Amino acid sequence: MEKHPNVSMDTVFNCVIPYIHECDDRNSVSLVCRKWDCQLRMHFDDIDITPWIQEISNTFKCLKALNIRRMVVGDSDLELLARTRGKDLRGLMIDRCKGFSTNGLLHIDIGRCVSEYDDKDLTILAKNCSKPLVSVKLFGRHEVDLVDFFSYAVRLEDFSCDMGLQVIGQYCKKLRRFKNFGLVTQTGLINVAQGCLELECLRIQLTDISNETLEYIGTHLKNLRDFHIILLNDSKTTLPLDNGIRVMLIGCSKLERLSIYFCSKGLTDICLGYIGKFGHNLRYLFLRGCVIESDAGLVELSKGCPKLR
Amino acid sequence: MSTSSSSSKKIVLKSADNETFEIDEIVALESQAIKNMIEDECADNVIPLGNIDSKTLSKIIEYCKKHAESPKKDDNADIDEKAVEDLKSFDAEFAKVDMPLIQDILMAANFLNIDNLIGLMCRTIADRIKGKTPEEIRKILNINKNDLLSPEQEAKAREENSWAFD
Repeated sequence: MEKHPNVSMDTVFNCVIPYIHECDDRNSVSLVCRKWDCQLRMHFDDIDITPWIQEISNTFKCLKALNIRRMVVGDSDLELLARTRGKDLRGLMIDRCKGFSTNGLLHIDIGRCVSEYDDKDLTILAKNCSKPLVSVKLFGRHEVDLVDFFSYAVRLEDFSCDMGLQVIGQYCKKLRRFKNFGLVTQTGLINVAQGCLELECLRIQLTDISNETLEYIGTHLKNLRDFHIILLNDSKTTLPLDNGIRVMLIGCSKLERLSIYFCSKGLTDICLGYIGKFGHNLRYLFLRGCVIESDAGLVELSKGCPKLR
Repeated sequence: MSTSSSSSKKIVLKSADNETFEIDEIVALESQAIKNMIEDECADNVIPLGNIDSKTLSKIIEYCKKHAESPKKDDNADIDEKAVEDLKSFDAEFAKVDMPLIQDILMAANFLNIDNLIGLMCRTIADRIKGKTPEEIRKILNINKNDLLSPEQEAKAREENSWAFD
């Protein structure tokens, strides 16, 4: 074969990636080199999705979920999609797209998962599909009044947003995945932990946190598999949080992914030992803001966590 | 080197290193690209394949011969299971080669448009990188270190991807 390393790696990449299904494997592939990372998150700014939707409505007879990102999506596209694939489609995510209006969203009475609208749109969406609506993701909206929306969206299982949490804990009892892109106080976090007992995935950025809050999570969220916290400014926080992490790990025994970002000394060697001792099911671990005092903590960590990759 | 068996129509393929391979047309038709050339009457006596070396080409011919000889599913509704199993084990054996050759075969199969072979090579590569760390994947695929992500980019990518691919 004539050697054009770049060309051949691109071909290999494009051919092989459809055969890689596991999230973890895809993540690994994206980290192999810069180019692959870019290719895996190719931007489709200003690309009109109409021909794709037409193809999907003609041939993708069993399509269960569709994620659209960074494209131009017209109301007619949504209408066509809902008309042809609506019966089987269980998930629709429209992320960072433009071109559609409330009129388009009206067709999504199957819809489960949309973004980019105001609270009126959302409430219409929730009203139209209050029973099947299981997933919603919101980005970049800070002043939306969602009380009406949540009062309809009682079956929501997957919610991402950057807004207040009290109302979510109050209404969304079936929530399984919650991702928040704005800052959350620990009071908000406690609201969600107490209200959404079925949570499996919780990803948040916090203004403050305490050992007690982590204990709340351990006490309430028995199904948690994926826990991801970022603490941007820990001036309001009493550190370290070793004990809170211990209680959380004992309570959340199904935990597979744990990511903790702290600015400073939030965790010590003792915490690493706890993670080793109680993180039986951990497969993925990311810690920042951990004080490595000696090798002792790492030694203790390495004795446990048999599934860690 | 040449391979010939019956008196059926022959096609000659010429590799980048100027080796010629005479094969039955039925074998060459496994490649959709060659099939199109033949149908469009673009194929002269010799089809030059300037981007495929003889080592890769002989592997590809080995694959096409086996698959051309095997009964096709749509030919006969009840092909005996033995033939299917036989082809499966041939494929499994065929894929037991080193990674550079697998990549060369994939590139060539992609060029020649041989669907089954592309699929086989992709599955093989995918199986070899599943469950591996990025560093292990780089080693397996022999990827140039110069193109690696910086630690900051890697952390950022991890973070963004953990949202994107879940």
